[in-house]
Amino acid sequence: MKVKVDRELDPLPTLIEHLKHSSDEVGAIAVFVGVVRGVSDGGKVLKLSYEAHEALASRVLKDVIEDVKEKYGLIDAAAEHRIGDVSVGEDIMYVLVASKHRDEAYNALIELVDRIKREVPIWKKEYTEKGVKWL
Amino acid sequence: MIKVKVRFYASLRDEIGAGEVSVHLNDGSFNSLMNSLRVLLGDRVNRLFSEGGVLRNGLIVSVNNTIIHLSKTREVELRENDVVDLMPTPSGG
Repeated sequence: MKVKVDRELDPLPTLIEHLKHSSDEVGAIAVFVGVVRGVSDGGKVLKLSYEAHEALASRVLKDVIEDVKEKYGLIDAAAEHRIGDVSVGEDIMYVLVASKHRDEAYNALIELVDRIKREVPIWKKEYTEKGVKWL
Repeated sequence: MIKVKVRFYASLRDEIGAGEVSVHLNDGSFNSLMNSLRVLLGDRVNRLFSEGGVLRNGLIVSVNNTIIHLSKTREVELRENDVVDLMPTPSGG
């Protein structure tokens, strides 16, 4: 399992290779890439800025992955999330799951992304032409 | 007296107007901490509590980097120099 909450993400191909080689049984890898949208509520987005509880974020991320791995019988998973300023069009978050077959990979990925957004102590501030607000 | 540090994160920090405060408590109960925050923060404390006087749903509480479920805060016994973090609902991704 690989988790990271940092200013930079690892290259996505590296993460895919990491999961691919985690076991001979891997038959499917599903990937989610979160990207900064250029428009929000009809206004132009300038950037997003992410803050995390540094001691807790990686630990909660790991716990959530462990839960989802066990529930869906995943072989392995990885999740990385940026902190600091992220410009429009840039990647915010990578979530990857590896399983024997595609069905559990699809379902696990949906749940994992939802839980990361809901449970990991990371917050974003949106900067638009209209102003700045926490989301 | 017990001295604990309370840290606020993200939108809570902006709304309360402080990243951290030090609080002196007569006892180590979480309730004692909440009462002290009510006095210290005045109206700004409304960001933390619902109308019923309980911590708002969705807030995350940790003590010394261990998350405490809101239903379990009564079991917390704070000690000298503990660090209590109050965090808003996550909004990552």
